[in-house]
Amino acid sequence: MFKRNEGLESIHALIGRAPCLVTVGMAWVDWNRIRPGDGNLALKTLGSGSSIGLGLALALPDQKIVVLDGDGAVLMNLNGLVTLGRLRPRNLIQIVFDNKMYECSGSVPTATAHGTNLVAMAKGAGIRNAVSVDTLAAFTETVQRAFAADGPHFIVAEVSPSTENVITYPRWLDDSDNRYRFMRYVEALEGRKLHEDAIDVKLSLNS
Amino acid sequence: MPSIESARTILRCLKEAGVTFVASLPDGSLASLIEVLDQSNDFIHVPLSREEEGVGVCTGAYFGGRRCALLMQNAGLLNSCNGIVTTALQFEIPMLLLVLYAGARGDMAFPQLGQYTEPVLSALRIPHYLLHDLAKAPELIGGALTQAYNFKKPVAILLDKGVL
Repeated sequence: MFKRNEGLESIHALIGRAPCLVTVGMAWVDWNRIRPGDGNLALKTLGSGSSIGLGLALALPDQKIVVLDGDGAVLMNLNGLVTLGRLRPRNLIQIVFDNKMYECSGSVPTATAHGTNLVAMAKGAGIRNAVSVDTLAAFTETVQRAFAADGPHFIVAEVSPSTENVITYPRWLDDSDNRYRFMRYVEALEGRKLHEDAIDVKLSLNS
Repeated sequence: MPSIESARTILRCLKEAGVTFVASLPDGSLASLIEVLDQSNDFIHVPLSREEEGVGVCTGAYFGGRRCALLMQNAGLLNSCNGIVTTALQFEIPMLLLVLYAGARGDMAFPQLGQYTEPVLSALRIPHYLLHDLAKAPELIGGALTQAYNFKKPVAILLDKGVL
């Protein structure tokens, strides 16, 4: 086992400027400290990372899309794995930090503390590149390989719980602001306009 | 049996409205629509295994510049409520919800769904319109999409079984 923030530090350079969809809770706190900025979307619906990641990856096939997830979140939306396994977007990398608990909801154990195997579930859903790692060195190497090869990649990192005070929500974040900043960030990466005002939609309907 | 012609008409309306991304889960009445969707090169189609995922999938595609629709039965709308509130409404994401209206007037199936669908949409403050005449589909689909972008939220079109 290793620490989530050590893991994130070790893959910071690999992720580079890739858009990151980050699950609620301490994964967001850790990652936003390591790579602050507009390229991070703080998810609100537990488990929505695989689904939003799938939609974004299909819409932007030339960008690597990264989902930073947790065990509780993945367990909440196992359907997301099924659909990833069916559509298999080659540019999606989903990294699940498995601390075996709902850390921000009172540190109550998740099913992975009682034998549920996320990698087996992902493989069963049709995601072939699904692996679990429990050392920092193996984690870094696995993520490196994921960036070098077509996906989807599903990487479970066996991590220890956070040692600092757990906070449940980054209060400085405004969701509407986060969404616009994130979209403008993706526009800059793509070098084209992605956001449409209602007037654009109306004009194209009339054309 | 739902008609292929009706399905083609509805898909043509979506295409003319600039929708290029559809996530779906079947209902018997939506089978033709999904069949035509799968044959079309005009759309990215994501077949779901539970409707709430579709809210996330469409949100991601929207961030990537796609105009999106989520096609499902009204039971799926009820399945999707948390995603609609904590993703689509929270992040102000426009999308069309194309909802097969089981239990609507004249439909003997799913009476409870028929009773709860519109009150739930109203409680979510999602504008919703009933499509029961195929001739009105272009105006309704185009108008609802413009409204979704103007209001920055999902807008629902309830599909009466009669139009399919």
